[in-house]
Amino acid sequence: MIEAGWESALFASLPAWALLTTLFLGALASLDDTALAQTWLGQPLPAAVVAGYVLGEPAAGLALGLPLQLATLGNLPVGRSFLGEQAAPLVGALAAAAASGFLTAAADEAVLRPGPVSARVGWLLVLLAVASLAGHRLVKAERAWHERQSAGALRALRDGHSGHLDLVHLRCLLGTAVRGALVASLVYAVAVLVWIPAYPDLPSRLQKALGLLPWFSPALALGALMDLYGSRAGRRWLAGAFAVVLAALWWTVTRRAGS
Amino acid sequence: MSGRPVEPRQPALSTGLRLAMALRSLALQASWNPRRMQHMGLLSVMMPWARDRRLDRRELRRLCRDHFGYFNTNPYLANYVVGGVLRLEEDARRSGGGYERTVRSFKETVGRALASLGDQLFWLGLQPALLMLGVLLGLGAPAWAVLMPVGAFSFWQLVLRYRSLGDGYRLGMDIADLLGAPFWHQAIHVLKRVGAVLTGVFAAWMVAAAADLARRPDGPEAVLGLVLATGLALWLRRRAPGEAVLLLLLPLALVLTYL
Repeated sequence: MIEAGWESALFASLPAWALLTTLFLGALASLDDTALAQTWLGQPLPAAVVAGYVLGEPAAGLALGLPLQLATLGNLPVGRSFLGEQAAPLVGALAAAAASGFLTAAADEAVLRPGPVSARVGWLLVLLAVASLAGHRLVKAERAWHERQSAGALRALRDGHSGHLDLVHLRCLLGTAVRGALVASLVYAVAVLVWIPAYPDLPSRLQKALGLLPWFSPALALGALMDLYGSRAGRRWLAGAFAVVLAALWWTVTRRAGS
Repeated sequence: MSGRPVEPRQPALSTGLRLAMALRSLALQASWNPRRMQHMGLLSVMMPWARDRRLDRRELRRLCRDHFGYFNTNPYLANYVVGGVLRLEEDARRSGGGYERTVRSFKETVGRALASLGDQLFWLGLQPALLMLGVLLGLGAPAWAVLMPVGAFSFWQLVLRYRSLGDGYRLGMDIADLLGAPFWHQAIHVLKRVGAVLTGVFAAWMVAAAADLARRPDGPEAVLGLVLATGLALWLRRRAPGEAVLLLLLPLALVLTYL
């Protein structure tokens, strides 16, 4: 891809409408996180499924969105200061995967199970984790910018100009949308130009290890949720559901084996 | 009949005005900043009311000055506060002012109470339960099914934002009775139990998937890795962002490939 020129790599395989949609979805995902509506459609799993459908690869969306959602399920906005930026990079990475056919085989492999596709998912998960950690600083910088904006609004309000408040508020919304679109496009560019082309050259041992990463993500969700529902009553409900479902699964399997 | 003086009729919030304010409330956190948090969002939501009531420049300046200070509450429940504040503002206008301290105290007290309630109800109750339901659907249903729970929540929260504005305005100071209703704590209790049950179901899925994987030639190390990752996640107890823990698990996965 890179040999053919970075411009062609960047724009190949993905039609202009899909690139624009990626920017738009990245903006929407960032807006939904805090600034606008907070519908939770900007959470990694729903955002990935929506982006997957839009880009024509819903299975890829599920394959990438599910482990990221599980890994970040404990990032609840209560009593912690980490913000992260998950959905916009996810949209960018999915667009890159759709452009290069990197996750096309996801439809043939069980989600989260170690295998050839999960190694590719793991490789993208590493990129997304780094992007989210870096995005944390970006979100904090944006909020500091909001504070400066509010000082300007205060001066205008002292003079009784309420229209200026609407403008400042709108500017903040646009700022978040631009951040989301830029992050999505940046991750798209990095994935198409560097990350995905580098994958075949990775040592086979590293590829095998990457294949385990999506498989480990349920452990992170379980650790976070067991901490959240850690009261005695919570543990009882959790353990009860676990025992009932496991018994039902065991009964189904033994019955199938018997027949 | 009772001899009480008849109070002048409370001006209503028209449907159009409520709708305009409910729509603006979607962007309550657009200009969120660490110093005054949702203060500009609150003023932005109140602006349609100020225009509808044709506040003169002096009144508008007073309104902006009074509400430009710190404000923070749960975004989904914020309209209870907004409705209540508007009711007090209407009362103040009719009685010739003097409500500033009451309004400020109401805003701070109710805002804080709703923030705490919203943390338990939305961030620690509904969100993890709903996302876990989405994950379970993603594991066993078509990709679009993942969007159902989040889609339902999106619609419900829009209705809640619209209705809570009217309820807050109707109740005014009596909103304390609504906050003290047992319904909220019952809802939190149920949501946490549902979340614990769904986590138990997910844990059973993990065990079944691990048992299935253990039969593969490379299965035992994958299962061992899952156990170690779960132990690490339980030990960390949501103290580190999920993305960082995911990156930490890569060296573990690499070590496992040598087994």
